[in-house]
Amino acid sequence: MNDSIEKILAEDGFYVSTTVGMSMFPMLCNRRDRVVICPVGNQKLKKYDLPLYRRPDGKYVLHRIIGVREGYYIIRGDNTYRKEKVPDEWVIGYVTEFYRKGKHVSAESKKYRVYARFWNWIYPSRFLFLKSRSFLSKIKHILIKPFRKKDK
Amino acid sequence: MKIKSDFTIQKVGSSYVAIAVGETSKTFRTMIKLNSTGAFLWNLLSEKDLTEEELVEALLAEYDVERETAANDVRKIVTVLAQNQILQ
Repeated sequence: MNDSIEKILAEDGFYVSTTVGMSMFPMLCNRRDRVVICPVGNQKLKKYDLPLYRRPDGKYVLHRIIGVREGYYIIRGDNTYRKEKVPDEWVIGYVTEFYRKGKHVSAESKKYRVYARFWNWIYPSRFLFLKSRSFLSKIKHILIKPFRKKDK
Repeated sequence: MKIKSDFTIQKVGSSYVAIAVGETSKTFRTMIKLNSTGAFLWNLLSEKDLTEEELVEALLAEYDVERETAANDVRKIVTVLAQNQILQ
């Protein structure tokens, strides 16, 4: 009953799906939004495009391009902190439009491009926020631990 | 029969596609293309529990077609939906 996305793209020329996961939050939310994907063919995608690629373990991933290099892309999810090197041949399609909370957005629209740039620009502060949060929780852990022992 | 609540249609350009939403989308990746007649019937079936005869009547009321053509269209679409286990 389940076709591979590659097969659907080849036969129908596009693929529509609900988004899965929170790695592209707040732009795309788990099972709330829908994306329309077109086959990538031989073209090289641009910075801020949203490629759908398949890792060698078979998992499909939809994240954002933050760097374009010869033969590969540098990719990161909007809600993740790690960069990934993705060879051109892993990429099977890219988002041409999406529906966020039911509202239509074209991936080529100016508004969307500005958003993507902004999100990439604030990455360092997002990173710091995450790091400081985990640092604070570590401190809390160290401080509270002795008291816990005393209680016993 | 009725469309299960974890399926929906999405308009893409001039065509419609039926896709799974929610938990079902984890396992159901198939995309079913529908024409305007298919989308019309889908909308009826997503709201109400209807029989094939009722769908044919609704199609006749909406479109200027022969009863036989309408019945064939309904049959075709219901078969596709049933095959993909979209109906309850």
